[in-house]
Amino acid sequence: MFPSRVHGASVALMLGMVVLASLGWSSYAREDPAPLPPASGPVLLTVTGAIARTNAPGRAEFDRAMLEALGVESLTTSSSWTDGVQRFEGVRASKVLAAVGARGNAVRATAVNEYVAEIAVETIEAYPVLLALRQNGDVLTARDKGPIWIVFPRDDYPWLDDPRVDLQWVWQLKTIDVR
Amino acid sequence: MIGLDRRWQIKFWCLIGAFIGLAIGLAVVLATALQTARSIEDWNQEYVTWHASQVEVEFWRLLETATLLVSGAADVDRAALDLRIDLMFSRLAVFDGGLVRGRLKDVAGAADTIYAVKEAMTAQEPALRSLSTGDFDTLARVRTELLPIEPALRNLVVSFEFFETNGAIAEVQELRGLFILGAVLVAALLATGIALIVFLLIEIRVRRRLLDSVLASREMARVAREREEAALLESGRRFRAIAMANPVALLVLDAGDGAIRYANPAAVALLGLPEREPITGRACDFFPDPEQFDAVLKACRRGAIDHYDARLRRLDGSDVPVTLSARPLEYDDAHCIVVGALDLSEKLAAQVEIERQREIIHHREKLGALGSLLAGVAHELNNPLSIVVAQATLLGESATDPRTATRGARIKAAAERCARIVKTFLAMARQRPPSRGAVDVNQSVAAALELLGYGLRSAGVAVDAHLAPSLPAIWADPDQISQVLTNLVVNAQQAMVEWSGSRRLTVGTRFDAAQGQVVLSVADSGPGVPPAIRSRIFEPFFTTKPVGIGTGIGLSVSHSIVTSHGGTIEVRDATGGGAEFIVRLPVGTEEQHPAPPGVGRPTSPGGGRVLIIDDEPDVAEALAEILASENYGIDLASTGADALARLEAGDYAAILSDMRMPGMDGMELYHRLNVMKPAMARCLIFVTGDALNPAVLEFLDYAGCPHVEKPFVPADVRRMVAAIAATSGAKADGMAMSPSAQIETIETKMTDR
Repeated sequence: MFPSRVHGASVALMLGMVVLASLGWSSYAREDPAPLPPASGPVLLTVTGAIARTNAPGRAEFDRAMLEALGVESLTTSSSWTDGVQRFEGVRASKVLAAVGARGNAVRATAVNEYVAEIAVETIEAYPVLLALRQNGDVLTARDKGPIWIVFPRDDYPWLDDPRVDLQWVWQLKTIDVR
Repeated sequence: MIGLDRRWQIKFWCLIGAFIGLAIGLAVVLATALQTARSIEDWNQEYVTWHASQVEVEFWRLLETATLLVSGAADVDRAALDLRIDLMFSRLAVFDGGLVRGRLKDVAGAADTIYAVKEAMTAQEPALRSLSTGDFDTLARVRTELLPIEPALRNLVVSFEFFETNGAIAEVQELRGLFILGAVLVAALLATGIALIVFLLIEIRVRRRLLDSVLASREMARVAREREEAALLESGRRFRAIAMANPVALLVLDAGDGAIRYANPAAVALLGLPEREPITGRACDFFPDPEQFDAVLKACRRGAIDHYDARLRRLDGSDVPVTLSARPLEYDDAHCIVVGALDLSEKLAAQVEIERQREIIHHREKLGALGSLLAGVAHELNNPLSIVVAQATLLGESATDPRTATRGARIKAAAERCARIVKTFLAMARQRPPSRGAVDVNQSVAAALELLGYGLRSAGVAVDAHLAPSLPAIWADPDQISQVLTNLVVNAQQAMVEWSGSRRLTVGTRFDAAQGQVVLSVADSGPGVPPAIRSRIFEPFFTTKPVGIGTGIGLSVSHSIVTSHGGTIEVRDATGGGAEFIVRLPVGTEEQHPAPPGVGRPTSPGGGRVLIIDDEPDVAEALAEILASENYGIDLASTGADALARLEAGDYAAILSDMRMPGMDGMELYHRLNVMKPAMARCLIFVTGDALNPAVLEFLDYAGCPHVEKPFVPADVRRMVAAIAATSGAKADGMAMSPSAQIETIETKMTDR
């Protein structure tokens, strides 16, 4: 029913996808599938999607201690929602993705109020994007933008001072879905 | 903008200005448009509207969740309500900082609304957090407190919506205006650019034309320059050729030091400069007198000099008289003087020569006057001498007494000597064209010695004559030969005037058969001629004799006479001292000058009648007596008229007529007789003592009549009469013989004698 050329191209595409999927499965199978330790405190962040390590069925849950255990870093920058330069402390997003063995190209960050923004993994790995837990030494709370606020280092990388990047400054982060 | 006038320049710069202005304007518009686009992007973010709406949404969610909790809904618990409360405060917290708080100022009442919501939420938070299932009263109180702020919240959202939408629209409108403006600017820029391109194309064309014309002008200028240079070169070459060929010596001198900058060949020759070397000297080196040179230089600096006579010293040391003319001159960009020097040597020599010629003329005139005087005296002596000779001859012939005959012979000899002397005088003074014939040099020597004998004897000079006997005749003018001999003898005599030694004159003749020349030597025993002056001794007026003795022309005249006869004259030391003049003359060639027919023809003896015409009775009678002895019948006439009357009456064998007579002279007589009796005119023999008169000579040539010069000797008269008588007789016999031919015969015979 399709012209032979289109039909041929479709078959080749499907074959390619199968091969890629099998390759991805084999590499995943070879890695250490050591499970994450279960969260002992209140869960602040849940990572789902294409991740290799979980501590719950199909997802990885992080409490404050688990996140801080990945290594707390600080980032000083201005933002569109604050006055003046702010100092943020938290975990680098790339470390969280690494901790869960994320295999996707992008992540969907979902806030408590169900606000969703998609961020390229490439961006997360190229820049020190922070999952901030503190602002100016104070723990971020749900009454403001806590407990987790995705912060981009726009002062250090001026091209990140962009309205499209601003949409990715997700506060009250709840879930990261790796795709 | 070369090539364009000011109007075009203004246009060009206006276009450039407009182009730049438009470009700047376009850049500004583009920048503004970018800025506007960015603003639109900002507006499109809907920050504040969205945040305000989120506040409203959370407000309603909070009330909804509280209601569900109080109503006992299964899916709502305490935590859910607390989360809603936190989210509500979180939404309000967004307005505490950043761009959102800044935007609150743009909408009237927005900040107050937010503040009011915060106040209300903060006031009701404890009640909300205390809500539990079934606690409707608390819920009602809370709703009563919170619901009044909902319209304000809604209005806030709408206000932000209006504000941000209007802002975006305004930006879009501005952007559209900017796009239009940009398009206009681009169009204008394009038009300006095209105009500029057109302008530049025109400019390029104009410049190309200009360049072409400039190149053409340059080419023309180059050609003109080349022509000019060629003309200059040709002119220089021409003027150089003129200067080179100029016979006047030209010098260009430096006006400062007188250094010679140029000298033409004439100047090089004049100064004796080396021809091939560059001339480097200074003009002062050629002036024997340095002051003269300074004077010339100063005069030239002041202006010019003309005809300044000076002497220049050649390089070889000899001086040359010159006349200088000079003018200032710019030569090779330096102040110079051009000097023309005219060599006066020839002019001065010519002046000397003119003086000398004047002197010669003076002397000749003097001699001419002397000759005329001498001729006059001789002429006056002729008539009486003729009588003396004739009578002495007749006396000797007619004397019966031997003593008388001897005396007559002595008288005759003396008279004939007198006649020869007079003839010699006449010959010397004779001004007539040379007439050549056979001349016996010995006879000429004898005549000269006879003429000068008295003077020689008075001066105590002994004369030796060694004359070769059979000397061939030479073909010469006898008078000129006599003059040469006389000159040489007189010269010898004068050379010995103050000579204290023996005074001897030796004259010799000989025949040089090898050369075919008659050699005449005249030697004296005087001091001789020094070798140094021998080459000059024949120059006119060259004399070594004291003033008053000799004129200095004798030897010169002799030299020219001998040379004109094809001979030579030289001087050498005489044997035994003194000077000896050797004259060599070619012998006469009778083949080249054949004697006319009749030569040597024997004259017939007398007979017939002879008419003698002379105004002087003694002369007439002497002639009659001479001819009477030859058996001629004699008729005498004392005037021409008388003679014509007799001739009319009858014919004569010969007619002897004086030349100069009162009344009708000899010439008139001839003409009349030629008309009356032409045959008788042929028998005329003129007896004249006036042979020096050119008119007489011309007449005799014209008439062809023979003539006898006074003083005549009887033998000459008899022979001539006999010849004419024979001619008249020959005519009678039909044998024609012209009188002129006859006279030649007669003269030859006379010379022979």
